[in-house]
Amino acid sequence: MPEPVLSIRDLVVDFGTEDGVVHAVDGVSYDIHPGETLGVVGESGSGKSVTVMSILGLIPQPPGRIVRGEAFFKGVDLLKVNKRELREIRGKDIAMIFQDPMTSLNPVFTVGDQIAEAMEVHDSSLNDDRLRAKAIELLELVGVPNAQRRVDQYPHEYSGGMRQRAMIAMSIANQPSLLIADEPTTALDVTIQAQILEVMKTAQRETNAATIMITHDLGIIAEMADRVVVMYAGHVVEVGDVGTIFHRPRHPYTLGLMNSLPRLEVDERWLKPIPGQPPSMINLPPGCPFHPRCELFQGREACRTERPPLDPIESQHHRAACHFKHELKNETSKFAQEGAAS
Amino acid sequence: MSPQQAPHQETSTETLHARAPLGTELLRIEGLRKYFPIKAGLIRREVGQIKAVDGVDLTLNAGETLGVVGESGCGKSTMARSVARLLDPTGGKVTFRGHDITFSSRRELREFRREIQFVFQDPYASLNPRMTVREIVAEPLRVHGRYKNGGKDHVDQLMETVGLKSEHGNRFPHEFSGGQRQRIGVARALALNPQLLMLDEPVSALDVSIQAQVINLLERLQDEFHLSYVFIAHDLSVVRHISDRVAVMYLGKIMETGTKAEIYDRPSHPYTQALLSAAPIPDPAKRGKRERIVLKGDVPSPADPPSGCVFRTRCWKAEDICAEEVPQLIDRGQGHPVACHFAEADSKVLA
Repeated sequence: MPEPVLSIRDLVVDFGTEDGVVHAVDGVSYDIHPGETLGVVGESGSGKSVTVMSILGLIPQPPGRIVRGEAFFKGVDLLKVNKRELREIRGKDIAMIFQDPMTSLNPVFTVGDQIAEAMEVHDSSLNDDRLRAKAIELLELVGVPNAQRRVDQYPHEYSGGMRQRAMIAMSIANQPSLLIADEPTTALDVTIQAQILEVMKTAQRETNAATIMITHDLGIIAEMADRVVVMYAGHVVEVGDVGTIFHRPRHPYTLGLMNSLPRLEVDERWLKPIPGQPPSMINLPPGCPFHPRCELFQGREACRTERPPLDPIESQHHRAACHFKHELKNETSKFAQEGAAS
Repeated sequence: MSPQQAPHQETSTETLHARAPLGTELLRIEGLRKYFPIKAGLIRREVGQIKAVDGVDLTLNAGETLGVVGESGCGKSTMARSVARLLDPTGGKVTFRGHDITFSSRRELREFRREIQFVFQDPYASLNPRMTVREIVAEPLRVHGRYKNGGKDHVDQLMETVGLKSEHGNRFPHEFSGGQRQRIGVARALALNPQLLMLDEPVSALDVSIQAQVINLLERLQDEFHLSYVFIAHDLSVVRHISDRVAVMYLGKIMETGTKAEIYDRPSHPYTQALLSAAPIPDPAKRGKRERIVLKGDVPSPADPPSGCVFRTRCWKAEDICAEEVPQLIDRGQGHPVACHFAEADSKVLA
């Protein structure tokens, strides 16, 4: 396997709040390889966004604090470089797409100017005509109709879906080697979402960028990701290729998550929820953070006292952080069961 | 109806509050319209109208769940609010238990509101942060003068019904997670023992694992109290799971309505087909194997909807007739009503 583009090791991020210290990210490690799409799933507060925001220097400090960890991007530890160097990397080698394009686009500049600026900042050799031509080319690539005309329009003249296209155009303007998309379609309707996911695939094909797709929507992960990282309460609880994670997960949280989803194609009388509530990030349960909601816990000492390591199962590529993961050896999610039946 | 048969006020209230037998018609919506004025200029002159809901016909039987799906801005929430008279409709007719409630007076409305309650999407915004859970759940009882007699016990019972502990009663909403807050909202909605709940995106703000808890709770309550639901959501999987019948809305109009099997297994309106084909299915084995209908463009403005069929600007089947003639919502041989000149059942959309 080639060298990872980005390698996050043992990242710990805290936030100081009035009520106490929030352990938003608590020892997260994962890699992303060239050209692959890595899906990061988890519920709100699981730390999936904070992880990437921290390594890009995009969390406010204070209240945020990077306690420890490493994030190697092309051999450079992003947590050690200074602000200027990080700014150089951000937007050029690493680009981001956020959930709400209206807040990430500047309302007082035209879309074309903003795409041009993104390129100019990192390459001052381009003249105005060339920048404009490239901006139009990019807008065409992401499917903005009448790009010649729309390049001179302001963000408010774009619809939500068009703005997200413009954001994607801007993010790939500098041929980044890593693209981070944080809930890129969450604010959009399903028919527009389908369009944007197609555009993202095009953008990826054009740039061959490795992509981190952060979302709570398991449907999008199933559609887009090659590998999946599952997060819970600031921890990575499972990592594996997309088929394994959806069909034969080995962490009880992942299995519970899959089995709690309502189905679009099949009728079921009752859903099977994960019992209990998500933990308080200030007072995380000791040991395994999932144990109070876990079927496998059954009062066992290890779950309450020892944090389970993210150990491999069968192959190095599939890992789960559960003391009793072997007890799920013969389990499959409801998706696999249907697949086997049909 | 002859004058002798006209019911006087008391009997009228009785029939309103008597529980509708399961399977009989509870709610009928006919030609419902809600337009919002667009005002401009110094004197705020009306220069146009947003046709948020534009001629909706629906019925709901007692004990049934009607799912309403559609994308943002299609008018599904405005429709629900106009039915419950949180908004005053522009036109059309809403009948509840045989009573025309479209333009009823405040006093009549008060009676009617005992029977129809709302649960909103955002449990953070719809619960008063300065009131304890007990006060929130008790409020409808107090407003309707029903708290003094055994109200406290009733509140305890309601909290238990929705899975909250009685000791939670003295806490404030911010001390609860999203799922717990939605339980508080449901307890409040049940306080007056209504027949109909309008559920407006009740689980959209919740995490997946909690969503399933609240959906199961709603289904259990429906069985237990013979409730009827209008369930509004954009999540097509959730709607399939909870609904008996489904209505698909687009730009203020119903495009297609039928049983859940009719809508999901034999969708016949191009918009329904596009919607279902665009919904991601959380199974990587299905990747690339589904035929996806990617619609072109965006939803037109409801201030200036297209002539004829409102969906025609994004429809791959559109022909001249679509611009000229509004397609009626009628059965065109598919076994359920479809508002499309070229309706055709497609059983392969989710296969």
